[in-house]
Amino acid sequence: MQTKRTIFPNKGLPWLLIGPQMIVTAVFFLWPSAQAIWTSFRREDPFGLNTTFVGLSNYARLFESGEWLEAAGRTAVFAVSVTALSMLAALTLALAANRVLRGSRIYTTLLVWPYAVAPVVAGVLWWFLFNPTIGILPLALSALGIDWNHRINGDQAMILIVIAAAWKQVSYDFLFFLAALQSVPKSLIEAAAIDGAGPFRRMRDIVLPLISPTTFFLLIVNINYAMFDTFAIIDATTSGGPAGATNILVYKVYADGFLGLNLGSSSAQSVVLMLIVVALTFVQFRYVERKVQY
Amino acid sequence: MARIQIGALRKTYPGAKTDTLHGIDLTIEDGEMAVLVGPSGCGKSTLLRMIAGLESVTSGDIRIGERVVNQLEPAERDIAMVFQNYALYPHMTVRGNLEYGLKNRRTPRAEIDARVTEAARVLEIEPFLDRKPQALSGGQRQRVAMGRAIVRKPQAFLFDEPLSNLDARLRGQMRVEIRRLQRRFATTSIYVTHDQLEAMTMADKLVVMNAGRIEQVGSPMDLFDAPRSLFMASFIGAPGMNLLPVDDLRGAGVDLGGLPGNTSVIGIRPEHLTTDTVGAGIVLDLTVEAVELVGSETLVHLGAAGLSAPLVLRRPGALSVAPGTPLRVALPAGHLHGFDGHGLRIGAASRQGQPQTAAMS
Repeated sequence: MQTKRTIFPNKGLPWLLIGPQMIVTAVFFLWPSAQAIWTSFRREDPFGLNTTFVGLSNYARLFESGEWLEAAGRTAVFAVSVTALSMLAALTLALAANRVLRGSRIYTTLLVWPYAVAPVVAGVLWWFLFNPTIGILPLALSALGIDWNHRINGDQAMILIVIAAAWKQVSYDFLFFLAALQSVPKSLIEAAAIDGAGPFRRMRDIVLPLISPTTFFLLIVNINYAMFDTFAIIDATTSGGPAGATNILVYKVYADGFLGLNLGSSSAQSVVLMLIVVALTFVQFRYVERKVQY
Repeated sequence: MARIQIGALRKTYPGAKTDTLHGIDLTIEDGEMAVLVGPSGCGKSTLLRMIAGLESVTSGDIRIGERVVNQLEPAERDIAMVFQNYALYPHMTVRGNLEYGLKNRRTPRAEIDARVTEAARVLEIEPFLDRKPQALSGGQRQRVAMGRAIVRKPQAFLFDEPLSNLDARLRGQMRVEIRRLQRRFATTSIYVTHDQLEAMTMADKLVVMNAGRIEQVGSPMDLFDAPRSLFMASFIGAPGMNLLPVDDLRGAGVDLGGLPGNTSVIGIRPEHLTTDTVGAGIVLDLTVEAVELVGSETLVHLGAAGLSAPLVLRRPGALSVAPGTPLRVALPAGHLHGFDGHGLRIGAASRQGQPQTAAMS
């Protein structure tokens, strides 16, 4: 593809044009990040009266504490579950919508709605649905002999936030999958049909490989979403409970920093998270670039 | 190897007001190359896709060999298709593309290898077997698409405008090559194109379609020499036949001699117009409007007051006449074609298949 290049007559205008973006990035990303890194090397009392430089001891304590490692393990379980659930559901819906000849735009529009719902509202929605006292789903589940109470059962709490977080992400994944499916040339499917491949084989041998770039892209986006973007949903449904069963890394940063007022440790955790994001994105994009070319 | 028989085949798309195909009857003999040609929207691709099993049949029969295949899946019809955009699997190597159909049919490994090697040799694509289609040129992709059809050893090849994405030079080469391969394997073939040059040069049996019906079937030369209708006369040949309404000619005071009474349009091919007017039947005084020098031949566009469309005269070699020059041309009686008020050839039934004889003398 050819890129169009514009040559500016002087250096002032380009700086002026990228200026607003640079300022936004500096104020809302670079400055807080620098603050977090700086704070992570210090210990502060809860009232902010007294701070001491402690070097890497915040990090050392983090990796020695079983609590943080447990939260990391929980986060992995949560991220993998959310990613798998939302992508599978989205792919199924996209395949269905792709087959529909009439009214597929209505389906598409309806399926995109959850994405427009604010995370907190989504959280509250599922909190109501699964509320052990007034919720409709625990009532239905009790008919099946399942005693639902995510306030005392950690596994159930985890299932709740996985469902709530995945539901919110299905719309996004659905749109990308649908676009990818629609860009698979029809003649390829027909050629495969003539070549003796049934629906399952056409899916496995032709469609899935051809949409794999989208699949890998969504994998990255979903893992990042589950790990770092689900704070509001957790806060509105379980608040990390019961007994820390849904306390994933990003929630722990908030809990330790703003509830526990341990700013040093909280900053160290967010720096670690930042490094995880960078590493994850880098590794995955490198992998995608190399493997998903055809 | 099989004969393909199509009987009273109709296609109506749901919600469409008119039929796409209005009862097609056609037989293609074993080993024959049939070319379906017609203007866009005439239903030729729909017919091909129905034979392939990619479109459902509204009514009528399709037989491949002895089997009625109406209800069979494309895979069960034992046909291979070459698509306009080649439809090569982009994520598989050339070898993978060739093998895919055989693997799906659980062909033994040794047999697969033998067939792929043979096809690659015939098509001269051995050096590319381990490349992806993306790394190939248009002509090479076309060969791979052919190879994918050949390795299957099907009962019939179906071609859906396979050369329309190639440049003119390559198209000429591939035309000859496809015909050579088709003869070599003697596989019954149906070839869809909108290019009448391709149609004329490749067909054993030329099927011209118009508006969901078969207009005329026959050998290319039969159709060229005795077009059944005005549509056929203007469609076959490039440029098409010169068509002159009789009323216009009479109005211009032209002596038409003894034409059958029901003649409403007379036609003459550009190469049969002559400037040698001695003792000729119909003579027209025209003016040169434009001259196209093609190199090997010259096309002269001639106009006159009272004529709606210019006549085209074709001469071998270069001919230098300036636009505006008056030119007297004759329409030799032996090369005239006559059409009646319904646009049908006069005496068509008796004249079909007799080369170089025109309808009137």
